[in-house]
Amino acid sequence: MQGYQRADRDATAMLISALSPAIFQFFLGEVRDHARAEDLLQDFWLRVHKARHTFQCGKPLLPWAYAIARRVRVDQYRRTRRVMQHELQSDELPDMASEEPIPIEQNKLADLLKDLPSAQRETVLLLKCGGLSLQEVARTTGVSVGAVKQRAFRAYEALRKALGAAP
Amino acid sequence: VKCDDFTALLAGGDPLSQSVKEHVASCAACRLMMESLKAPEAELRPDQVKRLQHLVMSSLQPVRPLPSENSLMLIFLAGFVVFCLLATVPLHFRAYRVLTVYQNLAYYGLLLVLAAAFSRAVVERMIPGAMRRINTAALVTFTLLSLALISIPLFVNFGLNRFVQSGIPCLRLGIVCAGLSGALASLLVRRGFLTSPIETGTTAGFFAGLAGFTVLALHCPIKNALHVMAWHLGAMVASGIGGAIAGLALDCFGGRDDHPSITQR
Repeated sequence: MQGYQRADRDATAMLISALSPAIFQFFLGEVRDHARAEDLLQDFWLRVHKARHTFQCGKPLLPWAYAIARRVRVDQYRRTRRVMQHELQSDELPDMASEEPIPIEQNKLADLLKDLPSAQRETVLLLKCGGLSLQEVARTTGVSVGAVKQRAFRAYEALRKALGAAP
Repeated sequence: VKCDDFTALLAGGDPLSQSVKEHVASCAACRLMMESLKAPEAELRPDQVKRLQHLVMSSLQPVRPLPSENSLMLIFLAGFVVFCLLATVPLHFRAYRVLTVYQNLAYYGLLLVLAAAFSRAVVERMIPGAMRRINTAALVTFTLLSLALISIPLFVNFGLNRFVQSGIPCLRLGIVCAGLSGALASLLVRRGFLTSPIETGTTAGFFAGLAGFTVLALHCPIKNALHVMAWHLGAMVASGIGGAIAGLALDCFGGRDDHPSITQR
């Protein structure tokens, strides 16, 4: 990350290669749509590029990156809502886009998490897809470690019920 | 070991002990849960990564990182002190004369401690992923209560004579000073990345309000607790509300699509 701040091209390329898959998984878990997750990832890197000076040497990178990713997701949600408000209702369905969305079954965890409250879903995604520790999730989401534990416990209980109810 | 113990261990992030592993091996429900929680394989296409690298590299320039959190906090605190003193110079320092030395120490000492806490809180909200040690709601509640409570023994007059006539100029002055300090603080806050603009706006708004309150505390010689609670603290609350509204506007409209390249594939 310090190399990125110094405009070192190799370090920047390495950072993008290393960080993108995990952030992409996080977005995919949230929006469950491959194309939208790719758009969000691009938006994420543009934001990171603008905010790279806010990273402080010696501080953990993942909470910093995921905190920006969360903000990108919130803005995307708002943008989608604004667009939907201005869309006209039509009786005829348009043709599907050429790019096929990834079937939900391929992303089992995201499928299981879709009915959870947003905060619980995000906590599980950060813990399981992002591989963050409880402390790092707390830094990312701006809540206490106790609150993260509580959210995770509730999410796992809900998942257990959902798995039990599944055929 | 029961299924609930396994769930609690998962949530606590603790490593699974041998007995828990044995339970998972023998319990179908826990095994299914464990397998379901495995992170899926990354499906990002290599050409997508290349495209992102190209996108970022196209405008790669060295940047100067923000100062450390402690340095930023000191900058905010120093700015607060300098602003309050400079803003009071043309108005005249009249208030400290009506209090004893110890009362002055307690009053202005409390204001300095609160300013340090607000500085820390604002800095924590400027940097993504920074550890948040200070809760905005708790800090605002503590600030309003402590300033209201310290006014009772310091300003023993509770009369309502000319309450509104003397209060409106103080409210106006407090809001103007808070607005000025808020505008100056926003120049520094904008250097950060706001992950929660409403919270940041509220915190910065109350911090600016504290600057307005402090200018009044240095200038206004009215030794009336009700006057301080209603008009001086009122200016601070108004500034906090203004900050929250600014944060809300930023939250709603700050994330507008300003990247034309997003849709280019």
